[in-house]
Amino acid sequence: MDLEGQLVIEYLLVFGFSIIVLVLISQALINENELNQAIAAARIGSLEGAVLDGLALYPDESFAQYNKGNPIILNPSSVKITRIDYDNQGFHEKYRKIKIQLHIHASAIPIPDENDRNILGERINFYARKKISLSFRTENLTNTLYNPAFSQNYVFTTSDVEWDI
Amino acid sequence: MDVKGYISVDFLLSTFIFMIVLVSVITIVEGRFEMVLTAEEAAEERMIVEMVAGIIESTYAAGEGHQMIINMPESVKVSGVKGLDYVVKVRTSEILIQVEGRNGKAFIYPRKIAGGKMGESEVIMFPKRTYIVTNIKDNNGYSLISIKQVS
Repeated sequence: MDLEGQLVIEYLLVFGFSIIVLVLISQALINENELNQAIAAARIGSLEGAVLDGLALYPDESFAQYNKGNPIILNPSSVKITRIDYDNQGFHEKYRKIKIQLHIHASAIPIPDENDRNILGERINFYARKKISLSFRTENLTNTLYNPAFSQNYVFTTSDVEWDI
Repeated sequence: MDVKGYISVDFLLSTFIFMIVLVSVITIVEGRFEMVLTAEEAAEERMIVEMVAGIIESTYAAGEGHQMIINMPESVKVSGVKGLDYVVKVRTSEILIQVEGRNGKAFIYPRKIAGGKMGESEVIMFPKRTYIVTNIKDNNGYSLISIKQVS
């Protein structure tokens, strides 16, 4: 009998039950995994934005603009991401997806001016949205500012960066 | 029977779960890796422009006749990846670096800059070249920084 390969009934019951539970919660798991991936991407993107803000390296057009109006942010400074939260704003009729708004918290002690901080914040938000779009390969669905960013089941927007200090 | 080779259901199941976890982790690690490369590039760019600014400030501070040599790095290098070309522009009160559409700037105290044979007030520095920075006096007795390419 041993040669025919047998499984105990308890094993089969547990295995069968596990499969049923897995099927039932699979959609929720997939959605949760997708949201986790998006938040991880947003975290990586916002860090990239903070690094470029901190090292004061900007694209041509922005650099020329800051050179005229915001010279302080052309100096290297310490820009840190302190926290990323999100709000689930429910199903969005236009996009037919669940809308998530990201709230990124940062600190930039050497930059006290609100206008300068807004510029730094916009770059942080831009890179967060960009990374989400790249992560889900949905760049073609959005605009040049990646606003909003899409995944399969979610649409992401960002609120103004909140400055801790 | 043993020679036919068997794999248990447990092993298949655990391998399947492991593969799912691995795919998620790889996606996150890949994103993080790209971010680290960008940060490394940006830090290199900032280091180059600050190095040039530091040498010019030191040469000026050391007084007339002081000379320093700048060996410009080959490229904005990132470990394991081909380096990016860059250009450094030295102006009266600022040093600019341009790398593939990205710009950075280091501030220096305003002073006269003279470079090349014609004594231009903007000096453009290129990768892999060597420059001599000298503190000299102009005809009116004011200090100026001369930047000449030697190789």
